[in-house]
Amino acid sequence: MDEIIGPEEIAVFLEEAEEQLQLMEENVLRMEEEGAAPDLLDEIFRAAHTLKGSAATLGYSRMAELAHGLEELLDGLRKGRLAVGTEVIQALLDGLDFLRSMLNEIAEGKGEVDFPGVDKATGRIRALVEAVSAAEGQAAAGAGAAAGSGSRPKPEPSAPARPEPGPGAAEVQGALYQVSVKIAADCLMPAVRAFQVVMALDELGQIVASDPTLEEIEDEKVKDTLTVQVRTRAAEGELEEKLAGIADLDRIEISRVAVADGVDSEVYPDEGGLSSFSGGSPSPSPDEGSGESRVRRTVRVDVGVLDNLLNLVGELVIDRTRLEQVCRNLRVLEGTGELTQDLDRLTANIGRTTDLLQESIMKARMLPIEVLFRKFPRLVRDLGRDLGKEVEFMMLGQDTELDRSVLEEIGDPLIHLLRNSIDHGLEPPREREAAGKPRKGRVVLSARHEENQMVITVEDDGRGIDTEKVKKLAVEKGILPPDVAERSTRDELLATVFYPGFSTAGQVSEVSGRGVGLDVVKKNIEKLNGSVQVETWLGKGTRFTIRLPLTLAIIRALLVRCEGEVYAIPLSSVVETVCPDKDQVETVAGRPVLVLRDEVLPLVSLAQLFGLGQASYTEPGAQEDQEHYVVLVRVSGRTFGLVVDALVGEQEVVIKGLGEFLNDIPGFSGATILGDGGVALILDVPGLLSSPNMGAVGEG
Amino acid sequence: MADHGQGQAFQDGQYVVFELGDETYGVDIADVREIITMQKVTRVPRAPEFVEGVINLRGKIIPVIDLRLRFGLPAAEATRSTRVVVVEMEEKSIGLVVDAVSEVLQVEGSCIEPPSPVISGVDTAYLAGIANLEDRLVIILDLSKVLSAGEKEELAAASLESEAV
Repeated sequence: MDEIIGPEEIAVFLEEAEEQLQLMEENVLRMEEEGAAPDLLDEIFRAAHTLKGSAATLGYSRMAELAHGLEELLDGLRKGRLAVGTEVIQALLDGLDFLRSMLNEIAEGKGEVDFPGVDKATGRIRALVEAVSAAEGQAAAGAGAAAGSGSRPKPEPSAPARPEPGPGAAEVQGALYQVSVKIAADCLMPAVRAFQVVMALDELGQIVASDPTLEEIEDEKVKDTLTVQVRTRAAEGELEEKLAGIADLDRIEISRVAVADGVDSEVYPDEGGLSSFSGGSPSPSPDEGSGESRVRRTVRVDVGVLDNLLNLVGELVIDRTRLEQVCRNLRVLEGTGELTQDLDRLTANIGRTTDLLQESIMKARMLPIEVLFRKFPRLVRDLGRDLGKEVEFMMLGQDTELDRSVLEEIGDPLIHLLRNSIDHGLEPPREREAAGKPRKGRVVLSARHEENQMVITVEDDGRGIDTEKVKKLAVEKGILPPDVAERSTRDELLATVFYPGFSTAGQVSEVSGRGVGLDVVKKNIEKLNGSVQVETWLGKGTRFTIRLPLTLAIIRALLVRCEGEVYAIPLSSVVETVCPDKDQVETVAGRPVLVLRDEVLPLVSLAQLFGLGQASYTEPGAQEDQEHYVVLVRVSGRTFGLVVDALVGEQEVVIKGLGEFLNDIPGFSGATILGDGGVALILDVPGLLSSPNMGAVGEG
Repeated sequence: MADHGQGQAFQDGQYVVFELGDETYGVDIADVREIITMQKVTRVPRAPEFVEGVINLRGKIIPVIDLRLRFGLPAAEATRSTRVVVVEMEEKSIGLVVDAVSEVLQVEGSCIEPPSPVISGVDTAYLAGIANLEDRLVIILDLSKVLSAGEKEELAAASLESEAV
């Protein structure tokens, strides 16, 4: 370790270590449920080994030591010397937690910090391992010798690869492939990568030979290329896919080695060392170079690059809209000459290409929601323990994809809803049994696409929400005036659980409490132009449904004009637009309302809300000569009418920030650039209608 | 921006000089990204008063501040000479509306004096110094203070107020 470790290297390490930890945690939890299946153990073991290697390479010795402890513990399990029990699982999880804490410290730039508990955790793991070894000490002298040199069976010194070719190899059927990878020159941990490659291939079949050998790799004696011969039944594509997941590989070449009849694999390993096949061809292969070897088809791309691409496409979308407008203007001015028609066709073409480009880039930014979901099983397990609830947790639709920008924002709201379900929704086991339900409460988290939206539900089979209790609380806490509460429908009452200051739990628990409630969840989701709803069945359960746009960058919006400016209203908030007759507008208690299909809807003038217009705007129709339009928007289960001067149209808009000094203005979520180059502010309807100028309108 | 305390020598440098009311101001050319003609500003309701609105600068939306309002000078209609000086403050672009941009001046550090409380109607908190040239005075602005903490607090207070309701 004579090189100085740069921030980039650390970033790579952190990202991968996080992945390994995640993988280990998932599998440890699975192991707790399903018992120690060999492949599960192998997977955890490999992750621990990889982590140990990369931590050691970067000089994080404490992490490496802890990972090594875990590795030994896992090895004990693998060899059947230890049994999976609460103690072992807890030791593994504790170890993972400490590793994660250390990672966080490193991520924050504090370097490797000594946690007071680490030694204890490492010690406990060691104690578990040693207890077993001691007991076995005399019994298995032979096994003990092997364990001394590491966890792996020691290969013959002269053997080129781990599995002995020979009788074993003959049993494995399938084709012989030669896999050759080039490790990136700037790769920090070539040995780790090489190890990953060999392990990945080992999983699919049997390694016949490798150069450098596994031993050499473990001793960090690696070159920039690694060549492995593997006998496997897996298809070439499978091999390729498996390797594509490994970082820092510049080139992957997989070719099938033609084996002449009667010539078995043993020919190659003995041929004066394995290095021979990295240069020439190991066997006369007539097909060589005829497309048998392929270059990998996936690349890792920095998120910044994707963001930039999306921005550029955003520009293109704006320009396309502008171009369409220019075409229209030209048609008015010049009529439909040949040139205008040419331009029309071209514009249509560019429009299509832009759409496709936008779609492709959106797709490239999509991640399966699993990335987010995977941390929940642990969370639910721990929460259930802390709260004395027994939880059966299910996740559905984990491969549903959504834009990473959305993904980054919905983690906290989801955690909150899960907490809410376990803490407030599920009853304690005894109460459940008394109600004739299974002891284990069920919480289901599901994700799916519905039209152009992402729908995520958090569902429990707990006690449900008692609307009568909600009514009482809402009045007590001053959220609803008593007379309003009496008149409220069930849905309206349910919607009050999202009001600030509302909590149905008798006492604020440490878990769901913290002074934040569902109002924060709602606020965060609405910030993303999404919505959250709750349905409940008393005694049977509760379901929260979140609807989100698939991306935050581009939305469909209704453009309206008000006092000379154009505003964009996200279509997700819009119910419908109407141009009311004079007799449809009435006044109730001095406030204008719209009577539409027997419903009475409060009217709010956008101009007045912004302090731009005069009072007369609140009463459309008051001025005979001026027509007004009303955009019906839905907020928290209630419909309002926004009075505007004119409707401009519906179009896709690219959301842009308002800049540092204007970010926190309530009622606006950003701005967009219009076809004519002008700027339109994008309304944040919920924020707008909960703002001070609304006064008592909201109370209807 | 460096702390131009008492007695500290100023560096020689180039300044973009502009007019505002009867005064002449200068900002360090290193902070200026570009100077554009006045364009249609989209008003932002509920924004602080000195924020004129936002403009589209080649696909980027940037806030525009009316320096006249910022400095408590009487408002004026935009004229043909009105310019928007786009500056970078804390890596964010902000447009400053000024009456006119006159020139780029090379000023020797020895000509610049720390601000004294007696000059001009502008709050001295915004000033980095006064450049005393042969025939006139150029007020050198400290951009990081033009949108000083006071304004940020004002903005934060505005949004808090609405959240409290």
